[in-house]
Amino acid sequence: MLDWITTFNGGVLCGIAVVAAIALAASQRKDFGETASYRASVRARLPFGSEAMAVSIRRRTRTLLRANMWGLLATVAVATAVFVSTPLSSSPQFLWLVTLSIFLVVLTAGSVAVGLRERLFHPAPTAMRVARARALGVADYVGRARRLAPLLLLIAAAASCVAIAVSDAMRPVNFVPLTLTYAALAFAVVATIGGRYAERLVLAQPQPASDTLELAWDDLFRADTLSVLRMGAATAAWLPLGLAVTILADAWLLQGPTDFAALFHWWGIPALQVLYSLGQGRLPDPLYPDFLRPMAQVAEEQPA
Amino acid sequence: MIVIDPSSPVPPFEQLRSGLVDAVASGELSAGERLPTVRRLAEDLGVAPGTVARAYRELEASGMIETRGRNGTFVAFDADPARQQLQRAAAAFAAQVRDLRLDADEALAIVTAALRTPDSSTA
Repeated sequence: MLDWITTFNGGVLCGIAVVAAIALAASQRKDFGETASYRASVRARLPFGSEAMAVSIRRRTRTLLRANMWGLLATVAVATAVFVSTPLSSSPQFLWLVTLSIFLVVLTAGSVAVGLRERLFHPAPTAMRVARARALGVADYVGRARRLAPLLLLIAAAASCVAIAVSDAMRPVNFVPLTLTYAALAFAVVATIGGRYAERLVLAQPQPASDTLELAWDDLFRADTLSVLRMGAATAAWLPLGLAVTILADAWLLQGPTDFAALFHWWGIPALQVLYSLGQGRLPDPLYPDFLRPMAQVAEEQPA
Repeated sequence: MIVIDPSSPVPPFEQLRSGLVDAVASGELSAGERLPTVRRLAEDLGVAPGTVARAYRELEASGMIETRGRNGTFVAFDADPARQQLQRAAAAFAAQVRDLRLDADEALAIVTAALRTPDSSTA
């Protein structure tokens, strides 16, 4: 007889697989991505300059969704193997592990792969070409809070790991959570370094464009990819911090195991998702073509 | 923003060079800002990497941009086009003074007097 946590975990896994399969089947339609691209256009305040531009944006939207859905199915396949073969299936931690994998592997790897493999526009050889005169960095695409969150969380995680090492010397901590925390910190460092490398690859990709509107659309997808990369690094950095705080709370504040201690280290994931989703689908003002910049911004830039 | 028009009679190299000069003059590119790599800009603009490299070389020779090893190419701190044009004119003037074997102090006095004369070119 399965307990309710195992049933719930299995049900959610099946649900994710069904959603991914339906989305993949629906994306075979020729007009798929039309609604999503119009929604992106409204959210970003970027019009489609021509039908060809709209088709390119629709194609990219569709490719991104398909990459994410295939990644989701791959994650479900791996998670199912874990579900069937380990006792994790009856743990409330199981779905959080799946969620973490989705954020770190599916969204991040999917966005980067599409960004590196495909060009959004392909101007004709005789068409005019435009390019920015200066090299842009992550700071040009991602806001300060979302840009700095991974580094700040990693520093906090490293400091809290030092704190649990000191705490362990005074009040010994169980070996398993201690090792897990250090392993999570090592993973966060690797994820941060890997993320920076991926950012450099994304930023080095050419942006062929025949007008400033095409360039802005390309920048929009690039901004989203860079934001997702920072979200992955921030999520990875939160994990050791959450685990370390739980260990410290267990050792010094709480009397015995509690629900707070059992799940606290996962709570940061939805919080980070909210933080990063706030900036998705928008371009920083300086990246808009002059004719689309908000009037206030233009007025601010004009000398008195 | 740099614009390359393949149908223009102006060669792409010159369009790129003047585009960068305009970007500095307009303030779009300020001192110390990093320029795209040669390869990246060539792919963005659909021109040969040699075209971009040549434009960068010329601008570097004129002192407008500078290459800092593997860090990339940057707008030089003294990259004001008007000031650079003045420096080039001064260098040409100095060379002429030397060719004419004139005294440097006398040459400076003549320049000072010319600068103090209002609108001497139309006099």
